[in-house]
Amino acid sequence: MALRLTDVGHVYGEGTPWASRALEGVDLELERGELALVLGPTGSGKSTLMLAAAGLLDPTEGTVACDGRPAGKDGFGGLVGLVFQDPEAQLFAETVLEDVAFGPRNLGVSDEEAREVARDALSRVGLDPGLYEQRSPFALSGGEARRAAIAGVMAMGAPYLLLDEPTAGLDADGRSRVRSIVAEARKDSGVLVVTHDAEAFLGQADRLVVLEGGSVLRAGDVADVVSDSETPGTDRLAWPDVVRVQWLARAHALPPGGSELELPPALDVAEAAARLARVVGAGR
Amino acid sequence: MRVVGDIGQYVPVDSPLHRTDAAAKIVLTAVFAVSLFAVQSFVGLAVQTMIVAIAVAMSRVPARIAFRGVRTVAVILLFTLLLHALEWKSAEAALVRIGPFSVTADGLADGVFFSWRIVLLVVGTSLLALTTAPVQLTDGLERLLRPLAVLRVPVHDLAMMLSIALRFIPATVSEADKVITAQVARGARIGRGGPVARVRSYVPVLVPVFVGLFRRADELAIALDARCYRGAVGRTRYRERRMGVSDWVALAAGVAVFAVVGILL
Repeated sequence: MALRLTDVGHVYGEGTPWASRALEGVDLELERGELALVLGPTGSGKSTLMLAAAGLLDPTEGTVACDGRPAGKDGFGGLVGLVFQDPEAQLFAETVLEDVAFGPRNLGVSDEEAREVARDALSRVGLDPGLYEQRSPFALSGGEARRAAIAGVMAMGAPYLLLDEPTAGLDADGRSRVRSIVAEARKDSGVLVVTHDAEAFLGQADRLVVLEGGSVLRAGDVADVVSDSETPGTDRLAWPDVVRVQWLARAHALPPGGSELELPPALDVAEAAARLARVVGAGR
Repeated sequence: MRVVGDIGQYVPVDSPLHRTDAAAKIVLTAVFAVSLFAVQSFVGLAVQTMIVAIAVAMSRVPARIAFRGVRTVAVILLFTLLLHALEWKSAEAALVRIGPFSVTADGLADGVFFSWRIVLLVVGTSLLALTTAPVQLTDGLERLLRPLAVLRVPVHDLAMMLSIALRFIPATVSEADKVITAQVARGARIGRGGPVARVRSYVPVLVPVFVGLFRRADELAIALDARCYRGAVGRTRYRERRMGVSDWVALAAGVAVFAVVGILL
C-alpha cells in the first residue's frame, strides 16, 4: 500500500521545437504515516513531480500507481490530496465552509455530512469553525486563506497528501501553523512536501529526496542524506542554517585539536548548540 | 494537465517569414484577406492555396500547428458547406435527395468554394501570429497607426494596452490551467454533464481566475506607476524597428501578386 513512482520522466511539448524536459528517471515511494520531503532549486522539476504523483499529469515515461492502481482521467479520485503552491488562489465559494465542503461533496458525500467534515477539517488547521465558517474566503488574511485552502484538501480525507511549497510567503506564525498541520496530517496519511524551506520540515521528515535538473540527486533517510559528505555541495539548495553551521564547523575542524562534530548533523537548533558547546568545551 | 488549449501562438523558429518586419506582414495579411474575397473562381482559389502552402512551408511552422486554427472553425465550415449544398425545393438536377432537401452540383460547388475560402483565410491569417512575436506585432501596429496620432488618437496607449493584453493571455491561460487542475484534484468535474451542470462546473474556475486577474491588473498598474510610466510622452525605444529593403521588396511583391490574383481570377 503506497504511492509509487517508477522511473518517471516528463517532457513538456514533446515533439515540438520548444520541447523541454522537466523530469528524468525519478523513483519515489510514499507510504501511509510517513513524511517525505522533496528539496530542489527552482526549475528542478518539483511541481511536475507533484502533478505526476497526484495522477493529474500523465508522464511521458514511467508509471505512477497508488495502492497498486494506475491513475484515471481525474487522477486517483479521493486517494491523493494535492495542495498547490499558493492554494488560496483556488478559493471561490461565498463562505469558507462552502469552499472547504466542495471537495467532500464532489466525492458524493451528503450536504450535511460534507459540512460536518469541513468543520472538522477547519478545526484541524486551527481555524475555529464558529469564527470562520461564515466568512468570505476573500476576506481572510494570507495565512488564514492558506490554511482554509489546505483544509479544503484535507476534508477529502485522502490517505496520501501532497503539498507544494506550503510555507511560501507566510510569516513565522503562519509557517509554524503549517508545520503543525503537516505533523497532524502525517499521523494517518502519507505526506509528501515539496519545498525550498527545508528548515521547516527537516526535523520531522522520515525521508529526503533532493532533485536537481529533473533527476534525483540524493534520496534516502534524512539522517543519511544530510550526513552524505557530498550533499551540501548542492549549494543552489538553501540548506537550513542549522545544518550548514555544523558542516562548516566540521570543515574548519573547529575547535583546533577538538573532536569532530557528530554525524548526522543535528536538525534542531537547541541540539546543534548543545553539540557545539560540547565540542568547544572539549577543545579547551 | 493541460486543460485549456494552447492560445499563445508564436512559434519561435527562424525563417524568412519570421524575419520580415511586422508592419509589412500586417499589411500583407490584410491585402491577402481582401484578395481572397475578390477571387471568384476555383482557379483563383487554387492559386491562393499555392501561395498559402508556400508561405506555410517558408515559415517553418510545423503543419500541424499551422492548420490548428481550422479545427476551431470546423462547425462554421460544416454549416457553410451544408447551407450552400442543400436546397429546400426538389431541384431538377439534384444529385442526391434527402427528405425535403436536395443536393445539386452547383450548390455543392458553392459550398466547397466558400468553405475552402474560410480554410485559406484561417491558415493564411494565423501565419501572422505564428511568425510574429507579440511585442513585434504591437510595435508594427503602432507604427502603422502612427499617422492617426495627428487626429489625437492615443496610438501609443492603444498599442501598450494591446501588448499588455497579449502578454497576459499566456499568463491567464496558465493561471486558469492551474486552477482547473487544483479543482479537479478536489474532485470537481469541469465541463461535464448536461448543459446546466457544465456551465455551473466552471464557477469554481472562473471566480478565482477573475479575482486573480483583477488583482494582477491592479498590481501591474501600481508597478507601472512606480516605474514612472507616463504614457508616450518622452518615451524612447530600446530597439527602433524600421522596414528594411527586403521588407519593402516582400511587401511590394506580395501586394502585386495578391492584386493580380484578386483582380484577374
